[in-house]
Amino acid sequence: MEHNFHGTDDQLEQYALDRLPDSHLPRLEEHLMICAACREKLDQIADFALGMRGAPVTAPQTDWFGWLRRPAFSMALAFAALTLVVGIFPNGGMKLVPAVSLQLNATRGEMPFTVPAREFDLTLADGPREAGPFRVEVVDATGLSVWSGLAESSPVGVQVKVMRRLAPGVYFVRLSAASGKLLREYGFRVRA
Amino acid sequence: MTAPLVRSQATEGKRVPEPEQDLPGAERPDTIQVPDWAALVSGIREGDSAAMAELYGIFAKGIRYFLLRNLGPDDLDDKVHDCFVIVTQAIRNGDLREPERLMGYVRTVVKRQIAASIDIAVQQRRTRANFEDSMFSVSDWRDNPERSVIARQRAEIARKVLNGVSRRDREILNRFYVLEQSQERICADMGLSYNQFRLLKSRAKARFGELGKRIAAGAGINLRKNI
Repeated sequence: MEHNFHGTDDQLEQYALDRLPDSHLPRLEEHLMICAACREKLDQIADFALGMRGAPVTAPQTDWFGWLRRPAFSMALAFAALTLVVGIFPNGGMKLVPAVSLQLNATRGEMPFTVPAREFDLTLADGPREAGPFRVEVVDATGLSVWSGLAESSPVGVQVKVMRRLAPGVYFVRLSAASGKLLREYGFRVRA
Repeated sequence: MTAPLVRSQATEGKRVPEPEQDLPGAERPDTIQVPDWAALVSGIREGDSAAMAELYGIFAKGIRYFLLRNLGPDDLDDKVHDCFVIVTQAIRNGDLREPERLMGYVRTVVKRQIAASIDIAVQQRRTRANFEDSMFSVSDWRDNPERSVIARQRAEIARKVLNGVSRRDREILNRFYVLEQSQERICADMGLSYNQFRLLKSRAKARFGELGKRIAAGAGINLRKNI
């Protein structure tokens, strides 16, 4: 077997994004095992690809209200907002947004976070894109099950709607096959 | 804006220039030297310490890289050591029947170690709850602050890059990186050639690298500031 082959930039990018076909994996990974230059290149490409994936894609807008961010205005606005919140929630009640969408990946990295909500639309982006149904279980930081249900695969991964309020804390989402075999585990955090 | 220029060249039938090296500063040599795996395996079988040292020299960094990438820094040295023990024992026991496939075998061992470590972590998370964690949950569950800042910087640079390109180019990058559409589909939907697609990505990467270098040089980046 020839081992002096360098992966192309496209292949390294596909690899960084977990999109390289399985048939190409052994050759590239075996090469990466012994080629420091390709590992360095992969790190750079992964930085870019993951940065692009994580960047909010919004059209640049004219900053009409930039003056609101000046310190004097910011402080005045913060005070007004605080007054409003205290007025609306005199008992310190927590305001929940109706629903939030969260895209999760079972890769090690920074744990995504969200705000407290009444329901959560979860997309398990690297989950199976066909077959199913799958069993999904949400557990808290102590491993206590807080929600479970079934989910179907879709072209963007496995999508599931968790119809439950989640208090601030860390949660793990376990994706299992119908047979009960654990396929993936994801984590996210609900911020206070 | 660079993309319209490329499109007009393509329309006029001129050859679109090949994209430049995607990320400057990551030049790779044309070839890498590949050891004689059969001789190396034979040396290890015979207990040659130089062969052992050579094996370690070749694979230590690669194994470390894959373990770090997949499992993080916890007990990294121990895990690297475990991989080497498994590989060398297999060689000495004669389990490696095709010495020329040594790289493939090492990869398999590393993959198994990664899978086993993940299994153990999942099981422990199911069956164990540290007293401190459950009762006084004050520790930060996120990655360390340095990683967190790096991730924020990376996303911010990407956002700056995206804000600096045309709406159409932004859509292309969004389709590819966020919506995970295939290159073929994007090119078909948006009437792009393969070279145009590559050129756009290449320029975005160059801009990303440029901004990254400015940060590394100490220019910094205001993570809160919108463009």
